[in-house]
Amino acid sequence: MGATEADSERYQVSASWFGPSLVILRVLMGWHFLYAGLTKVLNPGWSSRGFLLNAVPEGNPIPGFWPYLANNWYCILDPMNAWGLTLIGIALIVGAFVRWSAFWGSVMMLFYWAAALPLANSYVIDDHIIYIAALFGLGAFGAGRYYGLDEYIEQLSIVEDYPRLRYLLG
Amino acid sequence: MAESEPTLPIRTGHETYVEVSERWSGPALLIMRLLIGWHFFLAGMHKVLAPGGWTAKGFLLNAVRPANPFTEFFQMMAESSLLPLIDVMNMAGLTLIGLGLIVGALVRWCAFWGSIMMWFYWMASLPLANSVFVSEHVVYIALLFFLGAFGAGRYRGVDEYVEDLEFVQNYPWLRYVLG
Repeated sequence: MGATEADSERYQVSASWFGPSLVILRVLMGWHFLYAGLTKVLNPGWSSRGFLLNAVPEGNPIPGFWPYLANNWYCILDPMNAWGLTLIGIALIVGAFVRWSAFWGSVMMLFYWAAALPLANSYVIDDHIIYIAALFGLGAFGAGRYYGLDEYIEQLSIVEDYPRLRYLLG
Repeated sequence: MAESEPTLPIRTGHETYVEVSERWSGPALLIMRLLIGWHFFLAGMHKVLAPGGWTAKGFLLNAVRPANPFTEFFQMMAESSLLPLIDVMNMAGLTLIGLGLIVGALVRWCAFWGSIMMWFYWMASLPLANSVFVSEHVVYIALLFFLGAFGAGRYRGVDEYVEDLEFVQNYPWLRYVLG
């Protein structure tokens, strides 16, 4: 993984485990997103307003931001939340557009993290930050290419013609 | 990834090569290792430094939900004479696993025991409030497995040097707990 030839030669991964470990991380992470999304999509009474207005902890560094979002943007925010989680979850599970999904999943987690500040039992790092790290890892390793649809999508002629699309795939 | 980006072949199985993003895969491993290590370490220190001492008893007796399939097991644990040992194992375990992951020493050993701990935490958190099967603990287990599979301690970690020691060269199976 290092920058030099010498580094990359001595770097070994567990040949039998690293593929499965990528798939496991991708599918579990995806299921976590999908379930969180589906419960919101299927619950007609769900809205982020209740959380944003009442559940943001006291001492939050941007206390004015959340009521602002809740009161002005909830009609966009609610479907973005519910469908964002659902679609990101599906994409991670089937391994399609993994980098694109990982990016937007990270953006969502960053918002959730900011709304959870100050953390009750931790300092800076909570589960959302770990999810961001996991998503970054999945993107960096192109996890959609192991037993995922991105393996096939990347062979399409449109992707061959526009290799930059791979920044969204993998 | 784009063709201009340098790629590094990694051997999987016998004949398969895959391309990973050379620029990002190493840093990604490092970031995952540091962040989850910090999460463990802080959770451990939080318990170690708790005023008046920390014990799992309160959680085990009061915070395990009545519908938990293992209620009796956790109650037995809380009332057992081994509770002080369980408390120390929790505090020292989280702290040391956190340290090991942060400095990248004995990463596979740490990932294994971290996963066992997360497995217990997950059992105690059943039935999950907003999820089926997967909670943050399960994601942590997957992440630790990933770090172990990739030998994340060998990228900017102490295991890179530990594995060069003559002792490890003589006993290569030690790499199952390093990396």
